[in-house]
Amino acid sequence: MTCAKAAVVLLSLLPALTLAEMQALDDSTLSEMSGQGGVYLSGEFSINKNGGVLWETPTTNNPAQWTANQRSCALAGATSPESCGMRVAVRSGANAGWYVLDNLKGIFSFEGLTLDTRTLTSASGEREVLALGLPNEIRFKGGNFSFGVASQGGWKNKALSAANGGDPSYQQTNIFSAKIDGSIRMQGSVLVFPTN
Amino acid sequence: MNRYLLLAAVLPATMAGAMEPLSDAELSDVQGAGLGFVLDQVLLDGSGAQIVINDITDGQGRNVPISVKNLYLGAAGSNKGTNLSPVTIGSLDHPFELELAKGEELRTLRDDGQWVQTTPNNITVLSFKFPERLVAGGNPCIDGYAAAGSNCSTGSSGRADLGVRFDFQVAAGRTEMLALDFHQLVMDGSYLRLWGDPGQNGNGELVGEARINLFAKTLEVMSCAQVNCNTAGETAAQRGARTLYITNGYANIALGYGKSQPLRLRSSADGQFVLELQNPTASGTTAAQRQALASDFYANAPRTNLVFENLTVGGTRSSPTAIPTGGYNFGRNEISGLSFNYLKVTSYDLR
Repeated sequence: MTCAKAAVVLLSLLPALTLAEMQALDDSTLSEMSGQGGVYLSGEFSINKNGGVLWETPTTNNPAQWTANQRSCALAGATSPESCGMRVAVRSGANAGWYVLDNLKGIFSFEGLTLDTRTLTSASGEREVLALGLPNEIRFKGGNFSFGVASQGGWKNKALSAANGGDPSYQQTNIFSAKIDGSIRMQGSVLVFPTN
Repeated sequence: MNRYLLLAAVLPATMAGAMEPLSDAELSDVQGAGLGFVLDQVLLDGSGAQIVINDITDGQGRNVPISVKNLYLGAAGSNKGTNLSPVTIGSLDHPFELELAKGEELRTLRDDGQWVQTTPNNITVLSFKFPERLVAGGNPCIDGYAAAGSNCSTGSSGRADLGVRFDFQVAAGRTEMLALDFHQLVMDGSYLRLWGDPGQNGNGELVGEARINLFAKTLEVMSCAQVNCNTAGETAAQRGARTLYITNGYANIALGYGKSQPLRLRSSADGQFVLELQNPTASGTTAAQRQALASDFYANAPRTNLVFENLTVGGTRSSPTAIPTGGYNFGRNEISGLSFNYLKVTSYDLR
């Protein structure tokens, strides 16, 4: 009990000691505060630039000559093989096929993505909004992705037999793929706010 | 021990000022609210990037690369992207909106100006919508063309210029081109809604409804007939001869009616892409049920309209919004009140 008493005394002393440095804000003072400044972001992202961990890059574009852990994502008719990017597969129904975002890779960089808050006036009164300032320029280097549908979430080599690690029944239909190099100019900001 | 109890008794009293319980009535007013977006003074210019769309193959399985050139978005009056300035799309009162809503709460504006519910009851819908169309106090959807309606929430400053040019490399050394330029484009009332459905075979799948509204003062589609699309040194008349001009055009494209004909956009188990609009009476088992489903479908399902006040092939425009002179004038073209009774699109792998 003495120990507890000592602790209580110590606890009651602490606020008195710190009182000189910090004071509690009452509701009215707090309501006058507003978030000042903001955040300025620059960055460079590189996704699977040299291929991922799932597949090794083969030496040929002929799927029948790949080993079980090899895959090339070069385009139809290309002369040299290419490493593969990230793969994301989503199944939209039970016993259905998969939507696939495949071969996502490349480098993209931006400078001056800003994040701050603004107060704007609308017909329904004042409103605090989050402003996402777009960077003036987004630069891409070898940016790539494919969108398609597939019979399985994971990629399988349909040119190889099951005994060799393939799956002849696997089907993937790429709807389109896109490749981006260079810079895209993006100005302005996106204002985000809750609605009801 | 008494002191601890005292401390504990004091705490709730000091907190009471900050938090109060909500009554049942107050709680019932709380809804899953969404997020609003406004594109404030935005400008998009892709002319400095090399964008190539691949994986579209010809009959021999060879890749046909499509280069995307002259991609731009800016304020109206950009002269096909050559003079870009920023545009603000959406407003605090009528923003783009992303929300999770109940099927009972979502409304669609029918062509006669009535708001109707098109999504089924007792489901949660992920909804993304463009700035709304209004019943009262709206702006003209197309400047100076009343027939397109005056119920757009976007005012004259929110109209945008949007364009893109596709270069198709059909064979080695041969490129064909298609350029699209929208002037004063407004997309108010467009939306995409997605939800889960038991599906036709009871397996559960993602279904949806989409509405794409395009209101444009002008749309120009330019193709290329010359060898290698050599546009250097050509005259305005030569360029005009390869251009299709639409003046005062609008499209309301409706895909899916949630209650009886949701848009099924799926990947089949054998890895093919399927887009399907089922027969709206398919879920009815008796003649009376099918009759009721059909009556509801014809009364409330959004229709597809395509209206071109003027369609001209060839010729030149004297101003950015004038009806072209010269060329072949096909006058007014309209497809209205179109609904899909059944549609199924499936991909097949030819290789």
